[in-house]
Amino acid sequence: MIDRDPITSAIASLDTPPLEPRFAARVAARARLELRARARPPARGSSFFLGMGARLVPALLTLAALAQTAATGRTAAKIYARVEAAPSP
Amino acid sequence: MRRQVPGAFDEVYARYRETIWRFLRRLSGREGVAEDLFQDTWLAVARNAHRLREDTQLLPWLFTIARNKHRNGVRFRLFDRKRREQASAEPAAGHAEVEADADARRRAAKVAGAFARLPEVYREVLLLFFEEGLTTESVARILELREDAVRKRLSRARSELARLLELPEREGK
Repeated sequence: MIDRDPITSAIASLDTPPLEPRFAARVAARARLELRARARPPARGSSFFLGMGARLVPALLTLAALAQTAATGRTAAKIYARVEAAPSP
Repeated sequence: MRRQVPGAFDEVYARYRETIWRFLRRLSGREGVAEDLFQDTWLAVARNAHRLREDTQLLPWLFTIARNKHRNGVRFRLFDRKRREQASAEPAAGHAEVEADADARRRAAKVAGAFARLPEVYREVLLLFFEEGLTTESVARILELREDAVRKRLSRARSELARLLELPEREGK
């Protein structure tokens, strides 16, 4: 229960002009636009590319690793061939 | 509102828009400033509704946004100092409605002028506690203070308003 002392009465007596209805309606309309903007799902294109990227990146990394391994293998084979061909001391 | 149920925002707006308007209008003391703050508050409500938790108390949350909008406004910092300077320098010109009784008009103008001369931190705590009837716990949450700090601020705010109104102070609260 609010105590009706002079301070409480004084504050309660403060006059406040009412909220203008048309202004209130405009604010509500703008706020609803904000809500709709937040609720909109992300563009389908962007999720497609994200999905593709998620699959492509590991595949590219695997290919790069295989290529590097193959190159290393060829180099090793060349070195071995030279060693085989070189006359023995 | 958190789950973006259709119509939830409209219901909240219809229920609390007058309350938030009254708070901002009395806190800022100026129609134009209050209108800007009112709009900013409800736009922030719409943007942040998805962050509401199940246990969030809606009205204190709304007051927190409104109060922060008021405090953070750059215009507020300039405005509040100027408003207080003007309120001190000029005869109190309240916004009381016209009444037949001249004494009542003078009293209303005196109250409005005294309230306008209070610092913003006193006005907000008096409005939240006495006008909106919130508990000290809720007020503390809105103002981001401890409860005992709220009680002290309330006490000082009451004393200051009583002094400006030339009323005898009351102990307690």
